[in-house]
Amino acid sequence: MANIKEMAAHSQIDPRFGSGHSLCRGCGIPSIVRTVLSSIPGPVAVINATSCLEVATTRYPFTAWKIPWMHVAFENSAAVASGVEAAYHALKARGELSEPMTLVVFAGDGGTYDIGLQALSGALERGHRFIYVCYDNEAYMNTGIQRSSATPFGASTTTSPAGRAAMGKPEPRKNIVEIVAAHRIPYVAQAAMSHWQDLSNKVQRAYHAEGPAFLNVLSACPPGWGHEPRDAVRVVRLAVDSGYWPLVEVIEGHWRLSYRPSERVPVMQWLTLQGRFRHLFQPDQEEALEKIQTIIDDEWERMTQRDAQSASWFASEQARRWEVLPTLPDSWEPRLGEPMWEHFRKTPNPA
Amino acid sequence: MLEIRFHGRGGQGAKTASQLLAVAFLEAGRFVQAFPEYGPERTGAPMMAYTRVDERPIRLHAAISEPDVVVVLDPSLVLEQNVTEGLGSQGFLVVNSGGLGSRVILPDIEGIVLAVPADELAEKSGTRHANTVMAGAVAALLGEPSLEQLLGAVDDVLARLPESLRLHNRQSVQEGYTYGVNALRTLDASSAKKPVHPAPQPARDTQAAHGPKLGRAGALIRPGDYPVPLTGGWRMGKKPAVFLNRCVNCLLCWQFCPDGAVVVDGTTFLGFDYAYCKGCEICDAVCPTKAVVMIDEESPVGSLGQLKEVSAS
Ligand SMILES: Cc1ncc(C[n+]2csc(CCOP(=O)(O)OP(=O)(O)O)c2C)c(N)n1
Ligand code: SF4
Ligand code: SF4
Ligand code: SF4
Ligand SMILES: [Mg+2]
Repeated sequence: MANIKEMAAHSQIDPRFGSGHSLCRGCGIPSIVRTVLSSIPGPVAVINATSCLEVATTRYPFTAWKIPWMHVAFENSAAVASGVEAAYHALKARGELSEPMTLVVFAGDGGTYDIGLQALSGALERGHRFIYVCYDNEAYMNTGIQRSSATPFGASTTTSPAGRAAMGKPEPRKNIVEIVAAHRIPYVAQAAMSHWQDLSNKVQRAYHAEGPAFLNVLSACPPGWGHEPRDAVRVVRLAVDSGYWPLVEVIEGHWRLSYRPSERVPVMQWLTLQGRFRHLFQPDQEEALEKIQTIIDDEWERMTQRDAQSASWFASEQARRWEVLPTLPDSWEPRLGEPMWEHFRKTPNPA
Repeated sequence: MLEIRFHGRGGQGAKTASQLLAVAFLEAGRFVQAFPEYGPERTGAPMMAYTRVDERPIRLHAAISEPDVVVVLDPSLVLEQNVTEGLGSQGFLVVNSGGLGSRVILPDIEGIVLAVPADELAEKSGTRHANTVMAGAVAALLGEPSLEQLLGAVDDVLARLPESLRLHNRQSVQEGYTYGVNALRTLDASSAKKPVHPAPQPARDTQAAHGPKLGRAGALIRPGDYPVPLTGGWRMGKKPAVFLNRCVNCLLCWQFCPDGAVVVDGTTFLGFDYAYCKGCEICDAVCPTKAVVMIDEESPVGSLGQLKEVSAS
């Protein structure tokens, strides 16, 4: 487990993602990227799908990335990662490379749920070893807030506008975690930018997975969701605490909730913070509001059932291998310039 | 060919200003072009817009790298970018001196530099945007298009705005134009030899003449090869500051700051880096002990935004 202080120290000793990018004021993506990258020991290479992250961090001739980074297109980041992984193994086999490498894909929901799904499915089925991180801001934000299949029911976007004829997106979002889990890969998880410790733990499990690992991480988007930049963390936390965004993991096919709010807050608290749901608070929209609560309740019910079904497996010896190892000795005092992450490399892979 | 390059931030209307001038020049019987270059299109992010004007059809469609006129809508950009890059010795630099104006040192160029208090003039006209003021001032400096043509362009380009807003914009164009005309009188007297209208340039109709100067696209850029662009100019009047005595060093501000603007030494919180902070206020929102406060941009602070608590007793 990497805590905030270790991540902060890591990001100074081994900077991987920096300042000077053009992501919006209050964007949720950078904290996800930093948490992911500073939870991974050893060298990392990043494949980035076309998205806000890609466009805003690599404004030619500048770059916010301090590690090898590659972008090819919107739809094929998982295929690119497959190729890079194959090349890595080939170079290693020829003796031209000996260092370990973790391959991380960052893609948006559009690039994952929609246009990149075929490439992703292929790569998962072939079993390439990489950590695929979908930062989910629930729409095509870079091109100006168009609906994606991750956009929730009722949300207004430029292509599912709320008005006289419609009340935002009429379809519920699709469940990408179930789709990915159906590929029977070793590790699948859903996380949120607000719950950084949970996210960091999940990244470390993904790192240890011998095969593809997938993380779907909720990321705030002030202009796209219609909230103040300062509320970015609060909005995402409410998504989790209302049960709209369950924090789950699927380990070797076994589902569990990694976090359970002590009491689920009414989804209204989450909805009212965001302009994309504003139209739902006009008269005559009770039905839509009820439907949103029902979608969430049903989903929560399904998750708790699955969680209960897996309880015995998670108590088993097999599950123990997935406990996140303490990655640093207790006595460790971080000092700048010290190769603290050497420790990681020496930590045996539990698998 | 006359080439005008606008420097602004996303949301300030540089694109509209470039279109206004183009449409007015069209009315004056010229061939025109106007287009923006955003890079990532974000509110607050630096962007450029271009206007080309000629007496014959324009076949060049590249970005403008050797402008005759540079218009800067946000003075903070002068600190962040080389806005006069490629500006010829007879060029004009027209800068909005509002907001940060007093702190901006205008670049020393051979051509004519004009500072326009465009924020003030816009406010006087009832709008928040300096772009139309600047368009008016540029037209006055160039002697073309006429005020009538510009006002016609306002109705055309801003046709979708409500009538009242359009009126405000007509007003601000007029303010800018008048300011420009008056400024011109003093400029004429003090720099009599400088031509007021850029001398006609030979048409540069080849893309090759305008190839990127930054190296080939597709080149490998290594970290550190290029300076990291500063993003402090994105702030809109507020900056974070910290009472260190209240800080419990939880580093939540560091965790959630999108811009890496929270300065940490090892594992110890130190303060804020104003060169990168975009002023989103997340650090203020997540700080559990209210150690972070948002204060006016101009308020004095210690290094890294540290504040001293004044005891109540
Ligand atoms: C094949 C293709 N179609 C469309 C685009 C235009 N495009 C660029 S980014 C983007 C939206 C990406 O959405 P998402 O993956 O959700 O990332 P976000 O912008 O929300 O971060 C689109 C449609 C493209 N680059 N390539
Ligand atoms: S549009 Fe949304 S996701 Fe994209 S940079 Fe802005 S805040 Fe981030
Ligand atoms: S306001 Fe705070 S969180 Fe936002 S960019 Fe500045 S330092 Fe970072
Ligand atoms: S969030 Fe507040 S208490 Fe925590 S480190 Fe930052 S300033 Fe200190
Ligand atoms: Mg998206």
